Amino acid sequence: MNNQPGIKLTDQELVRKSLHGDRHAFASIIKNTEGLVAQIVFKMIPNPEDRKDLAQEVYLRVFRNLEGFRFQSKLSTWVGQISYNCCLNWLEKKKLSFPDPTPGSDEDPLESLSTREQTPSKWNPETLAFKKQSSEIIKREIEKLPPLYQTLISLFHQEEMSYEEIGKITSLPEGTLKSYLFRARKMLKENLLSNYKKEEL
Amino acid sequence: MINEHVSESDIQLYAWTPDAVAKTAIAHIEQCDHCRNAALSYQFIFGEIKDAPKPSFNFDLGSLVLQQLPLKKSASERSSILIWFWICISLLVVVPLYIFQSDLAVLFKGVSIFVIYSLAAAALIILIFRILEIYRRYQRKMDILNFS
Repeated sequence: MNNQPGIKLTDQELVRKSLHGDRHAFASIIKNTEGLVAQIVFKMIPNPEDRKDLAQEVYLRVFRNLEGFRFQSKLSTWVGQISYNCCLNWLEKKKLSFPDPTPGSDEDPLESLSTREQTPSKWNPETLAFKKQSSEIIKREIEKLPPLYQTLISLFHQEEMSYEEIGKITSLPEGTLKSYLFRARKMLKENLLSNYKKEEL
Repeated sequence: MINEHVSESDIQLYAWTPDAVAKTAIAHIEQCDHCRNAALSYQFIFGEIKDAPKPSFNFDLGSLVLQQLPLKKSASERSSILIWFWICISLLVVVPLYIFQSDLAVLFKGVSIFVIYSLAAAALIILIFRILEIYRRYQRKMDILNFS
């Protein structure tokens, strides 16, 4: 029983079909959720080879536990929860200390950030290059945050997940989650300001 | 309008969802250079994060996983395995109970209160150690995440 292309099945249908041995349905579950898994794994696991093993481990675990999934949350949230727990267990097993983040270059690429951002010109190659540069800086600074902060920032600001969903993934109470997110954003802003010596971004 | 600077959390909230902030705080942020700049910084950061390319795996995760999946047993096969499992467990419990029922009646006869107390104390100590272990495990996880 293959999934016809163009027809989007609901999570319930995908789970039901997967449980009846439909591998295409399980492949669809992977396709629908691997972005979220990548967000979590990339933020928590520094080594690319380990990420590859872990991502597979996540979905094997999803497959093994699919029968017990009762749709108390979205399927993606549940998969995210498994990813987070897999990463946490893996870190605990390896007792990893996180590597120092890549040191920034000596130049001060944020120097003209504020003025250029305030006077947006047409979308020309210069602004594109500038945009890419500032994105790189912020990406680098995010990578310096503790892994949980990185994960929370990505899930909230990039994946635009709700507090409730992130709380389910990380098993953190909403109050703690809000507090961590607050600290993460503050730390990110302060790091950016201190590392790039800007009065304002 | 309030004269004191608004809190950092209100500035963050304003940068992300301005509607969620009190009107007095909004009025202050709009008038105060310090707070407005802080809010602009956050808005810039949030915008950059949102627009940043999302991470993705550079391998075909789907096919890697699918080739490792076991051949699925049919639902009826699974349920019959489950039934046999529970029958075996039940037999393991019920049969010894039936055979040794006469011994069970006198199992605790003549046992001093001290022995019973010792058993209860041992069970309690084990329980406390288990709870401590769970707590230590939780702490280790927090340490890993740099949140000790």
